[in-house]
Amino acid sequence: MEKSIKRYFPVFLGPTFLAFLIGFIAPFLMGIYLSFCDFRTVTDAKFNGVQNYVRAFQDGEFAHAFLFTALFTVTTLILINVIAFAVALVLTREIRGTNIFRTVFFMPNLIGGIVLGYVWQLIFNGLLSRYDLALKISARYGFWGLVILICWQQIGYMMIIYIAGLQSIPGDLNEAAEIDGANGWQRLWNVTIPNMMPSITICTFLTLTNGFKLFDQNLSLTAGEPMKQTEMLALNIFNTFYGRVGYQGVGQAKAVVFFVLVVALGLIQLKMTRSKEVQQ
Amino acid sequence: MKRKARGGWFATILFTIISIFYVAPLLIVLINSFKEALIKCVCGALRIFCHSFVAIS
Amino acid sequence: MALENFANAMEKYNFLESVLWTVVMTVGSVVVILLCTSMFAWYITRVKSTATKLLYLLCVFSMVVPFQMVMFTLSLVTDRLRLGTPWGLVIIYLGFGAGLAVFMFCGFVKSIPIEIEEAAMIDGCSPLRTFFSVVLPIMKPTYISVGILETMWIWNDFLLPYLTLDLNKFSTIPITIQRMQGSYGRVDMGAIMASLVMAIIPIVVFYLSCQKYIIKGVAAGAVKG
Repeated sequence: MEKSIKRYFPVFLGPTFLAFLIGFIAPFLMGIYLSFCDFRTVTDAKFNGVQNYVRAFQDGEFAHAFLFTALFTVTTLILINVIAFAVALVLTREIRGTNIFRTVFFMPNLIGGIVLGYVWQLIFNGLLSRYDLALKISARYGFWGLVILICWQQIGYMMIIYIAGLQSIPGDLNEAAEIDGANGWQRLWNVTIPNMMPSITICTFLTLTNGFKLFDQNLSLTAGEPMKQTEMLALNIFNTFYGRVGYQGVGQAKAVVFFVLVVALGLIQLKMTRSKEVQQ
Repeated sequence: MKRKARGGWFATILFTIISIFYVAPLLIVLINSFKEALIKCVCGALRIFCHSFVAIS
Repeated sequence: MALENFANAMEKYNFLESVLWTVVMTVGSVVVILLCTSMFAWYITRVKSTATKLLYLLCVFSMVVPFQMVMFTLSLVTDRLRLGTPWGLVIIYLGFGAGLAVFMFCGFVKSIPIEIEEAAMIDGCSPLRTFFSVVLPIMKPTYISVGILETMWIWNDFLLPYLTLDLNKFSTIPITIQRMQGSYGRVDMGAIMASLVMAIIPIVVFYLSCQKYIIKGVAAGAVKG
């Protein structure tokens, strides 16, 4: 059977592979090469070693963007997962209207980052203008504004994953623990959470990478104002490419650093939580 | 699960309130989109409200 | 009640046109992605060799790479190949969205018993016929899941079309909303709110009409991702 399928490889593999080549492999390899070059367009690229990387690491704005992103990611990671887990715990009990609540909480997810950013900008500015303030006055407002926006958007998504996880725990485990005299907290810590580790792994992984890669919401809510104080890594890279002439090489180097960072963090996180998963 | 949540109604009411708050931002924008006065705020009272919409690039 | 804002948004900013282009781009890309990547995934799971294993790993790898890594070079490539149209972007989306789709399809193909396909082939069906009349119907749930995930992504995507589309001729909903903020000095807040509402309503309608599939699709995608 394999042999007869094999003859058809142009039909089955051709289109996707070609598009993959154009849309991913070629830009990726070119990107790595160009990060070692000085260039405006590809044709005038000149090799200049690790110069770009040196300049990227000397860039104070880049460092600030990194710290801001890291702080933001840790905050949202904790808030989203704790709240989503708690909501999932309540909504898997027999409460009237759980389906409506799930529907409501999940909805913001489907709306795009740009649209949501402007929706919340209107809300925040509307509230703050009563006190003669605005979102772009202080980095602190921008930070918490972003945190609220992202929590609002992603809690529903993580809740759905947690609910799916909770429903797959066999009910007799909890009952057995209850007969053994374990109270609610003990059951939560010793039965529910260990059995939920696979879901927790996925959700923390998603919130971690989403936080680091955040772009649309950052652009539309604050656009880095004031004075690039609320600029996150992805936006910083974008601005380096398109906001400063002659910095394309540095931008590409930053992009490579960013890529390595995201992959490394993702792997470390997976390793850490996977090791806590119980074998069933 | 046989364990019927105690205070089931309490949870329902609580979550109804939270849900209303949850969709509030979308509803506020919906309601405001039908008001016509907003364009005038460029030189009106809500100055800061408009200044925050300066172009990004 | 004043519908003035909505009229403004449509007249001044051509909002309806960007809705049209967004629909063209999203529907075109999702259909092409579903068809091409499912065939790709079936082939690389059924034919076992180093090459197919490598292709699979490449797809998984592409899921982790942030868009910023390739955005500049990708815009150069699309410029050179003149793909900056809504239908040209279909190819780019197929390339960039292939990772997740192939990954999910592969996971499902592995669970299909190979005997059914073998029986069809012994009966004289060509691999193409086997795929379309045997494999495709079995994979229907996965098609729905992948279709929903890719639709959500492409419909809301801002940066990729912003950098690759020919913005003098085309625009998408997020791009139009983003551009409303800029370059005019004074901002028509009413028109912005009206377009935000017009951007949200179709999504909410879509969500409420097939939320069962959406929630299932998201859960399935997350568990595998």
